[in-house]
Amino acid sequence: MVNPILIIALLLLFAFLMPLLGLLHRRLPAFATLILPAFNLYVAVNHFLKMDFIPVVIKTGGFRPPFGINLAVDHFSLFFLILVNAIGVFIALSYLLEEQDYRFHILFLLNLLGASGIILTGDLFNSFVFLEILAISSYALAGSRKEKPALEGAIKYLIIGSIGASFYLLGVFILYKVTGTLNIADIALKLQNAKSGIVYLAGMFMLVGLFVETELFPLNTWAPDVYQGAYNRIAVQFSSLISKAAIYLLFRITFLIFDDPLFYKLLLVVGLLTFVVAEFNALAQKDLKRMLGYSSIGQMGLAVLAFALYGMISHPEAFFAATLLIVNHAIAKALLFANMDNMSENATIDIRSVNPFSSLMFAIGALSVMGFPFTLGFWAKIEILGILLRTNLLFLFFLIILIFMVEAFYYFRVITNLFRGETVCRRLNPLLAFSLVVFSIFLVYQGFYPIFTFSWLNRALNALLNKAIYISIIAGGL
Amino acid sequence: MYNINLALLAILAGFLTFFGALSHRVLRVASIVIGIVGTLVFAFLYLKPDTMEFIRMGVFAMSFNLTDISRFFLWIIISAFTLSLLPLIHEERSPFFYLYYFLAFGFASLTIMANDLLTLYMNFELTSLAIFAILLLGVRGDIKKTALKYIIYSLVGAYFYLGGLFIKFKYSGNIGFGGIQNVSTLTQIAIYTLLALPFFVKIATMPFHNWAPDAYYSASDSFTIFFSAGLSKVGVYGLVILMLKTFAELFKSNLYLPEIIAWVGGITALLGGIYAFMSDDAKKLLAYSSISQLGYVLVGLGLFTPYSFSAGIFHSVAHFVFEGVLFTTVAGVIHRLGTSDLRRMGGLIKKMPISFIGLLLGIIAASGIPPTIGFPGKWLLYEAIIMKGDLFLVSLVFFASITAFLYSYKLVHSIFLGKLHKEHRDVKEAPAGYVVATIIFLIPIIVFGVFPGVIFEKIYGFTKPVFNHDVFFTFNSLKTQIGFVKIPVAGIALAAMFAFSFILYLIAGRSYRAKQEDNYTAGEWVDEDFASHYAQEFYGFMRKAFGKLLDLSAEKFWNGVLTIFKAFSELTRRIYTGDVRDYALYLLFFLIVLVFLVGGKL
Repeated sequence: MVNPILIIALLLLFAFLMPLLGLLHRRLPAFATLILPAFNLYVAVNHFLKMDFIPVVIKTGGFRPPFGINLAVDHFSLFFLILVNAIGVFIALSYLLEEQDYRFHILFLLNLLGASGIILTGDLFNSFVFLEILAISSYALAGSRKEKPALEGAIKYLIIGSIGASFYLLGVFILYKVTGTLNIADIALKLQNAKSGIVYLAGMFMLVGLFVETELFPLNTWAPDVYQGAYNRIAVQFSSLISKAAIYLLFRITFLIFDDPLFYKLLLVVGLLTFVVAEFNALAQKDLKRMLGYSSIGQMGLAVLAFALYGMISHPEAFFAATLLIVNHAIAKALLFANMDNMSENATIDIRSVNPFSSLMFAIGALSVMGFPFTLGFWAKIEILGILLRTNLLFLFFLIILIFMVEAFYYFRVITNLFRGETVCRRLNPLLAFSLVVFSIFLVYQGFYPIFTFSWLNRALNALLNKAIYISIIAGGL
Repeated sequence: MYNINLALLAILAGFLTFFGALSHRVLRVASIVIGIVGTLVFAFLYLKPDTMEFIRMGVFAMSFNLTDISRFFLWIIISAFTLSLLPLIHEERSPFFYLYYFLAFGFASLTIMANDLLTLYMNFELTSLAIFAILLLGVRGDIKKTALKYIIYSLVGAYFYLGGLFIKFKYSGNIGFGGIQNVSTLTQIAIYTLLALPFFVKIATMPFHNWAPDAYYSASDSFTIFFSAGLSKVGVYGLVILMLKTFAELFKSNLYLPEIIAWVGGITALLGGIYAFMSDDAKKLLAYSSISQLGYVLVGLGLFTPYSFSAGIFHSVAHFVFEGVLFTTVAGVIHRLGTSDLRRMGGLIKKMPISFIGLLLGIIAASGIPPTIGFPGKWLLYEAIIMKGDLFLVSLVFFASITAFLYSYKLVHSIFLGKLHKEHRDVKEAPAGYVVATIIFLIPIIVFGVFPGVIFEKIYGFTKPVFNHDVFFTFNSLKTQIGFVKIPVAGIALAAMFAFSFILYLIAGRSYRAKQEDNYTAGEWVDEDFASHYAQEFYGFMRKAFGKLLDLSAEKFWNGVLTIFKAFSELTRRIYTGDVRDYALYLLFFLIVLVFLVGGKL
């Protein structure tokens, strides 16, 4: 099987080679951008299916952990790797023929590198490095559109993101000081029994950094502007790629290192606030992309809320619900944002002229986000309501149901306009149309027969929950 | 896969009709006819009762079973569907319309055949979505607002149902239709309310009814036949299942719940009737009539005595028949006239005689006059309420019945009686599809009106296990502890009265045959073009009497709720000020909060 280190190496290599490729042929960068995530996807799926249920350590530079930087590959990381690179393929394929400026491709590859690196790494400082790569390429991508809304969003993101990243680094330093090691598994091992107070502080600092990237309240203030202003494919990247890599890191670090009621309670409150505020804000929006952006933020909040419920009920179903929601959201939002290309510029919720194909794609994506029966989102919603009821907090249960009604209202408001507008036939990008159709078929097919997603998800979660094995194999790789 | 095939075939037929409509008019008609024939053939030959079927979805299996209750309601839906397809042959609609029509029928049948709460939910949602799609293809009125109102009312109800489903699962450990043990009465009532809510919305119980008048008005006229006569029965079915299977003990033992629900039904019946006779549009009038009649059904179901429950179910069958014929005839009139405004119609009795007969029998049934199908249900309902001793409720229902007379007369007078308008001189009878459907509807109006025992027998089959009551009916008569009616006798009495008045008219000799256009007004001679048909402000004086009552509006209340939500969203929106300096401050404050959180541990 292919060594996963190639994923990182090749991405980095081709990112640097892009200018040369651009000189050779103007279409070459686009093809490279398509081939790389496809290759990563192949490697990840191959490992997912063939690997034993034991995490694999990939050493770098010849040093064994915990001295050297290592990659930690288990099914949970592979699952997210598959998700992230599938979205990468989606973006690359849809915009393959269009984007010819090699600078975009460099940024895209670096972004994918950051995301894949975060997911694969087993070293804490390494995670910061990849987090920074992810963040900085996102700043550039957000600002790649030379118009005021996009640039404004990018600058706000840059400022908040930099502050957040600095605090993440501070947290990493504190942990290093306390434990003497940078290996995630090793830190988890050392902190398993006794956590000193300063460790909690470090955790909080790291969470601040992660909350910015995962678009959680109150650090997600940059997100609506970025979603509204940036190019549609960049919005896809934010909703389905960047935030998903960041939430992986959040889940991993919280579960492995900071497995403590205080953190789960904090995540619960933050997740709930994010969800409530974002969904209500979406109700108030007139601009369609901004509304979708708030919906994205809301779903991230809901996923974190579900994850945090593990602290209350100690049942793996919480993780299952959270991750299923993440998968559904990544695919549905990618569908929704990419579909915005088929709609007019600056579309508001009172759309007048519509393209039947794009209306259908919007409807399928929206129904899946809402969790309508026979879409993948339905199963996600059922799982979430199930774990909410396990907590016996009826108030929370009904509050979430109420917000679901709000969500249904603002989505159906748009759907009504879409299916009642004057029909216009726009020329569609065929590759984009193909990608949209594939994703929408996936959502509906998994709505009818979700066993495929469920079985993969279960495999991934078994790996996550097997904390002891992870720690012993990776930290004890001596 | 036995009974589910009905739905699958319907979906297939939908696609067939879609392609037929895309290609050629003849193919469209042909595929609709194939749809009708195919559905009926399958329903008569291949439906297998009491067979469990599953659609495996990997992690969950939808379970279906054609129980006796399901079969009863399924037949109503099948009949309403096939009969509404007949007029549809004459309507030219977008190809997608036919597809959604068949899909709505398919999912409605799956909903009725569902054997557990989650399967019911999933198919119920798809039915609502299909109806939403059809409403988006509406023909008049504010279509966007109407469709959005419909789907939001339906979805809010469905979300409450979902909440109730999970809570029921928590207490009983299963999502089947069985009851819940060992829970307090209050919890049971709460779960019942949550689960029943979408069905209350579906049968347009007040105050959740606001979607209905607009939806009935907007939708294509033949769909409205299916909508009112057929699809509302999905709501009735849901309530029947919940009351008979899951919450029977609760209703039997609790004193307040049946009364509350019966009163809600009664108020719906009364207010629906009032709004009906205040309407100036034929379809809106019928919409409110439908709401009002379903109110009677709810009174019957809610009161939960053996007679009232049977009466409620019987009246829902009656509702299917007479609302079906009323909507069909009105659809035919609208098709020919191009308007649904009652103030612009008149005198069509000679031009559209069959439609007139259909409408006449329809309103006779709606008013509950023997020997039509509207009578047994209403009679039994009155008996049941009186036996329970609830005199206020019986007065309310009686009052509501008066409104039925009022709107019935308004309808028939404004359309068929009085003076013919000049522009309608050349109007012909409604096209064949409407006429055939009308005639077919007329058969059960009389037959089941005279022989209600046939239907009561089926109802007895599934209500006896719960109520354990004795047979109270024969083929053509009903008997309760306090009353007895032999329907043919009542029918003959009515016929005799009619014959008597007719003979009186014949021998009185003072009548003079006038042309329809020949008219007079207060001593002035008017020419033929003068619009003197009494149709404007038909019940104008009622507006003075009921005016204040009509200002009460559930819609204003729900809009107010929506405004509160929107106001709250404006509030949260302001958190995102747009100024990055504020955002940096949020980060700082958040950090300080976090540091304080861990402060104790440091």
